[in-house]
Amino acid sequence: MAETGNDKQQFSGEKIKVVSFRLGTEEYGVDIAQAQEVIRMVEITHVPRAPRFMEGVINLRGQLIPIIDLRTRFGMPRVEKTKSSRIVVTDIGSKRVGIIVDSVSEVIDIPIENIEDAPEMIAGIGTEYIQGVGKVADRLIIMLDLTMVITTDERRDLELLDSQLTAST
Amino acid sequence: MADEVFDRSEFIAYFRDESEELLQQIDADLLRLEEFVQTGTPEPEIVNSLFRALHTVKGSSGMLGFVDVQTLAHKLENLCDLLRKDRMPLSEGSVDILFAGRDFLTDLVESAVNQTPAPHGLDDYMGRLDQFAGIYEETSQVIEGKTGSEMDFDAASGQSDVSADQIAAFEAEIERLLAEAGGARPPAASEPAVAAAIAAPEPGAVAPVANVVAAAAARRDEKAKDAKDGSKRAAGQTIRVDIERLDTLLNLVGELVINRTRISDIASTLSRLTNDKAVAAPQALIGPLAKELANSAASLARTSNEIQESIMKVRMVPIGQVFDRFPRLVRDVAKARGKEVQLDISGAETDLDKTIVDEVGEPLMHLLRNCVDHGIESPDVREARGKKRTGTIALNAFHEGNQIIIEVSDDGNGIDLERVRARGIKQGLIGADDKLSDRELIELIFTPGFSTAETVSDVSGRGVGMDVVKKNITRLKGVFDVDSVAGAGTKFTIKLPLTLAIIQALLVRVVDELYAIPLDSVIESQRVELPDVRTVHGNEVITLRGQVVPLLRIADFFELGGARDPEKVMIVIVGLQGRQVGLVVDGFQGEQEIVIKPLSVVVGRIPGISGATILGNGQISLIIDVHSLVSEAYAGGDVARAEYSGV
Amino acid sequence: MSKRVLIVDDAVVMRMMIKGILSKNGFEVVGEAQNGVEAVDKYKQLTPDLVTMDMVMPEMDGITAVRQIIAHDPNAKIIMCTSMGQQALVVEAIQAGAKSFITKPFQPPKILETIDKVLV
Repeated sequence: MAETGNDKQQFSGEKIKVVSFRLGTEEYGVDIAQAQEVIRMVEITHVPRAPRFMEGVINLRGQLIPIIDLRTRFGMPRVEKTKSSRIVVTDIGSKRVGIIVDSVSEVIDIPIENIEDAPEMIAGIGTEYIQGVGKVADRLIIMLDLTMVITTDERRDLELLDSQLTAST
Repeated sequence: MADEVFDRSEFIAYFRDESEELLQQIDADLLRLEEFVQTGTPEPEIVNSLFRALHTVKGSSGMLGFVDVQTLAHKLENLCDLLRKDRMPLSEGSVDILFAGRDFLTDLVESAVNQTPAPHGLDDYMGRLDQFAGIYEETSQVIEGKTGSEMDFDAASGQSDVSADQIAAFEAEIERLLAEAGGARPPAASEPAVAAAIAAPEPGAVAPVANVVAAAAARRDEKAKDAKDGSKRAAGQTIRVDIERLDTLLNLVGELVINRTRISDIASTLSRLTNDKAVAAPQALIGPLAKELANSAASLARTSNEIQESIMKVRMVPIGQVFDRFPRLVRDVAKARGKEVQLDISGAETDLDKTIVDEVGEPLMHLLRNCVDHGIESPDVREARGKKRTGTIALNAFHEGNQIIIEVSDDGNGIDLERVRARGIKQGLIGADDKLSDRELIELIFTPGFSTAETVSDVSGRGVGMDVVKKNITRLKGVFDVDSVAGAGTKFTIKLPLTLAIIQALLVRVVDELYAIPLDSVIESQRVELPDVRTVHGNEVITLRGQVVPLLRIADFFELGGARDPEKVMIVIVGLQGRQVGLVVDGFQGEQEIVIKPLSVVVGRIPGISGATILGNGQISLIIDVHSLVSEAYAGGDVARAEYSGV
Repeated sequence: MSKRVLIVDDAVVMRMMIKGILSKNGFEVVGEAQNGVEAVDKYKQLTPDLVTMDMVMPEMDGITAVRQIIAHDPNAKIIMCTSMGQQALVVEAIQAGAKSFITKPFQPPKILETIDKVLV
């Protein structure tokens, strides 16, 4: 995406702080500015007829927060939640959304110049979700564009419908 | 440097609210002003009030760097000044140009706040305004003997790119005038002001900063545009609150804090007692603590109830906020249709929830247009019928129990039932031989697409019909009704709940979640043995006091799975406009007052769910939207339709 | 101790802005008034060290308010907030006892400078 390039220029020579987490075998990261807090799994209230990747809503100190299962969102196989499963509560624009990840690793600094544009495909995730790939030592951290993760445009809904139809036949 | 001090975004919200109020006021003033056109001289207070409102808009927009708003407000203020000083006569022309100016100003404020392009035709209008004012300004300057520099300042104050030089010159001019007037004032003032004026840094700093901010915001907006759709109203909503109501809340919160301290005291005493091996915690010690705790709990309950009530009151605003724009609307529509109409408003001070106030404007506007357009007859016809030439529309609001009633009535034609029947037959809604009661004929006008108007007028036409009004009111959990007497008039009645935020609900269990059903739509709950459930065309029904009630299994509708009880069904009978449907649940959990929280925009609109609430134990319960649940179920053929058509 | 200021303006945006500038610079805004009548009442009640006074307001204009405040307290320190084109009114206000004036649209440094000079 064009924005990735711009961002890089703007921050050239700087580092960004990233909250890194695991999903399957890959390591992902979101800008710490977007991550509000990381919480343990809590009871999630299922919302019927919501988009499939919408796991439900939780009560976070009196506020209702919708929860997205990133695995479902990325079309990865669902797994049972474990003790290390976490919810990363993020602020995307004016929306507060929690995303379920397999585990949260740490907060790391990634020098801007070490972030490269996303390659075509990563583990089957569409590039639209990916802002770039950050290299730290020998690790590759996939930087997510959370705005895309929560966007439910028509095309996406159609894809969703498709997958549901496929699933039910 | 200006940007450090001004957080513009915060001010913009205030600016929008304030301008909205002032524009309403300007509208009201102009309407009053218009009444004086015949005499040519208006009541001075009206013109002064207009002048002040425009002056305030000018000042505030100037501070925020909204050049267009400032310029137009200045020009209009000028025109009022001419009127005020009797340099320009009050005529239909001058009132019309002020009305048009007020409309442009409204659009400009909108476009300044939302950073959209200026309204179409603005330049034309500004030109017209200049020309109009020019005629009188010249004579005014001759009469007042203004100097060249004064005229420059007058002109400059309407622009936002006023330079520091211009301000300095203006201030120097004041110094000169003060010196001329001679030592009648305290000496301390002159030097500082001038010195400050000359030392003023960064000529014209405000405007460039504003531009940069605007450009940055525009970029942001582009990015966020797709996400923003539909959430326009939700963002940045503000409400003006009576300070007394806030004080009450603050006091209540104070009580909460006191209680918190009491409770933690008790807790720490208790833990000391349990940890202290020496004390065997005899009844004598624990007894008083238990009593203390009970008192605290009672006080907590009382305080939280009061806080809840107070917060509700904070959300309440007078419905006059919506009514205020109607005189103008009625005037414009009446003028366009060649009718004479008087609008009588009462009960503008009646309070109701802010969200409802925001939503009810649209339907009311449509009803009023309808009254002018279809209700009130033309002056000649009225005269021929022995009525006053000027028709009257009454808009009335009042509280009745837990509801607010809004009535819109006119003394016009009434609904022509024969015409409704003819139209209904023509549109295939009823058969030519159908015998319908007056009531049923009136019901016809709520059918989507129905209109008795021969031609679609630009006023109430445009495909927005009574059905839409009814739908909007129903969405607000309100009731909409029409009464009409042929030849004598029509009365629309809207009944709305005072608030949508807190409701009584019946909690039910479906599979393993709790759902809340708003109590206002619940008629009763029933336990029915399975043999009493029959099937009609594959859909389940029960017979209740001789009436056949279709069943809707919530678990099936929401695709929740779960096993069916082989022996009985638990049913909540809900009523929808006189029709009954039985919602099948797995258990009843009692009634409770709940606070409605909207589901996030991220979740989107979900048929059958209107929001969620957090229960006392922190658990979330989804709130069932009975209306959409049932209509969706009918649309999907999930429910027996047979009994649904009867009223 | 920080100086206590009463802000008088019928425009909420103006009040917010002046308040923002002043409170960020060590002044204590003790009250706000929307018109001349309120201004006079609040002056008596709050006895602020300084008043910023708009000229054009409903109920009672700024100049009348200046007169009434000065009648109550001849040492009142009032700064007028004016727009360009109001020179005659500014002169009138200062003759009525206002100490100085600032011109809209305001420049924050200039407001502070004017206030400092008046409070000396």
